[in-house]
Amino acid sequence: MINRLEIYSNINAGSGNEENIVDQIKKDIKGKVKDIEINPIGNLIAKLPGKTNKNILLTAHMDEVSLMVRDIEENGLIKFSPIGGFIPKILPATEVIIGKKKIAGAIAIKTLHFSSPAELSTADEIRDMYIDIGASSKAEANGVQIGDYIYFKSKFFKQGSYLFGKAFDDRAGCCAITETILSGPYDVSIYASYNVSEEVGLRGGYVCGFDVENLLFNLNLEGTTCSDREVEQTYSPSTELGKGPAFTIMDNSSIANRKLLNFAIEVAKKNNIPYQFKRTITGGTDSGAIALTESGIASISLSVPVRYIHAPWSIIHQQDFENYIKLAIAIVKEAHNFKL
Amino acid sequence: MLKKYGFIFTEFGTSGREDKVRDSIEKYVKTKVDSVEVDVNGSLICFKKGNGKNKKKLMFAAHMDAIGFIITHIDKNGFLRFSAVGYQPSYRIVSKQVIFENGIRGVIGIEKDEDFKSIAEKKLYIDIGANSKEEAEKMVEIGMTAIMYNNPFEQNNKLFSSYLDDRIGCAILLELIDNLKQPYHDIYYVFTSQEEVGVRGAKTSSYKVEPDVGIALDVTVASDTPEVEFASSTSAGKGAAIKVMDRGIIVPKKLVDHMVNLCEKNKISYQKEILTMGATDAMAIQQTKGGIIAGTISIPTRYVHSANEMCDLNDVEASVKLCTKLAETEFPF
Repeated sequence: MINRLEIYSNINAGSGNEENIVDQIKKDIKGKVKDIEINPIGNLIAKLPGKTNKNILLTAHMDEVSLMVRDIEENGLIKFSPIGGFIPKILPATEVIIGKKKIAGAIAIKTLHFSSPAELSTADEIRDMYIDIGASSKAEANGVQIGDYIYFKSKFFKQGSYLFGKAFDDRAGCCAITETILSGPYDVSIYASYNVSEEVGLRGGYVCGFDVENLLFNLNLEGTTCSDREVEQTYSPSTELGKGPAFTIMDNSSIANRKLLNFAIEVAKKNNIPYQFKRTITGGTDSGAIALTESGIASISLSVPVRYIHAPWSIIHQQDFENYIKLAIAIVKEAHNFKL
Repeated sequence: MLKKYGFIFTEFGTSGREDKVRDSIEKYVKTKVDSVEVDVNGSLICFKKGNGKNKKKLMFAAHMDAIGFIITHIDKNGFLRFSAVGYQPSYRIVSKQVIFENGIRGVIGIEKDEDFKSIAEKKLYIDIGANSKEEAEKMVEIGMTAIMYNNPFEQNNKLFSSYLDDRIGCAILLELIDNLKQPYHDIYYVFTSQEEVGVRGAKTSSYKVEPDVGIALDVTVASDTPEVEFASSTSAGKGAAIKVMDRGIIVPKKLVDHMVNLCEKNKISYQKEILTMGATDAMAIQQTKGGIIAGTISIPTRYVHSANEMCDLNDVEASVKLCTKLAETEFPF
């Protein structure tokens, strides 16, 4: 389980560039599912038939936040744009990998010694940053192309009960779907959609829920914000590590279907799996897009809390991750009993 | 209005939590229409068969949800932190009374007095009179929602209520259901959900209904108060507002013209509406499937998205008349 998260999160796959994770997932589930297809936008769709023809939709997104080469300057420095949301000030001094040729580089800003006091007290914008790959001219930088994807070089490791790495949002969800499929079959049939381009506007999510017959509901598996180290005690922390997977009641994209949410909470209680609620309403997930598909799909998001999400390094709690997958599987096992 | 449809202006219902107001509406209408259905996202779809020769599928939409609050945190002393559900400027809500879906009431407090516009939501809290976290948790829970709490009243043919947006639209639909025994067109009265968080209920309900024409009934911002900053071309009391444009839709000219003609012909007072902010369910309807002809009839309302909204009942009456004519007249397109 943890092993799979290591493999999935170490893979580089930004929005629109999901091929590598697609290949890995295919490899992992192909012996188990009935068929695998890639839909026109790039979502990987897999079907696991169950004892009944009632379907549930399982979704997670494959893409991670990343960067893209915007320009290569005459002096060999690389300018870049974000793909997905970043706080610009977390980027400088980060080690990155660029493009198919895997050129290494470092994100740089003006050195301390040349910065004015005013410059030192303000954060740089992304347009003020560049990547130095050790090329002295544009010609020397010819291993890099405009449009190349740029990824953080962070590699997964475990320390105590904590898991460090990148892209837990949402490779954790991809793992959860894969583990659920591998633990099947179930009473319900699974229609699993590993989605593309969530980080740039739920784009895979908008097109993943059409034409699924006898669909009971969607369970969207995510990584979500965690602010247990960042928020003053009197305010609401989004989620806290170690307190279980988190249900979203409401965010900017969706309000959880109440019957489905209550159903899932009952499953958690019955199986003695700890859970918490996400207690801020910021952010949005594919669940919002899926809920508005056709004449509506009952949908909820279940997430593993991710400390320092959308950054080169994130931290999750091993038990949260294990309980997250346990709960996903428990919900699928009971799914045939769900009534709207 | 209050005598007949008072329940509409008192029932609980915030975005995604419309159950109570929907149940009341369903109870009121179910014997008066041919069928009633609740869709996945919580909209109530009521159908009344028409008898016209060239009838179309006409959908009237009004949203049931009111803007409100959701509990995000309960602190150790029993104070509740919250987020707004829908557009809810923080400076307008200080010291207001709220009511939760289970009937628990509270008031909104602020940590320290601050300048009007700089008041941040995270400096506010709801006080329900609990002495501790434990006590508060017996009364409410994280994720529970609240709405403003005020008694509606009528005075000088004006209606005051916290939930005019858009219970006044719902009341107009109820009036149409009561009045229209044999409409020309097939009518779908859709009481939509989740409008205030992004016209969500109308998106999926109009997909299901697939109307030929969709008309949203909603409030608009009346720009007729002292020294007001221009927001729309409408004033309270000058008639039903036929929307031409807002931030979500440009209404097809043929539909605007049709409604204007109906008003002219039947001596219904009307005004044209251009709103520089906001959107209504018409936006979602227009963008459904391959595109649907959609427009909005608005009730010019003062103090929209505050604890005390106010409209003129003459405009409501004019809107009911215009909708009635729409339902009884063949479309010229």
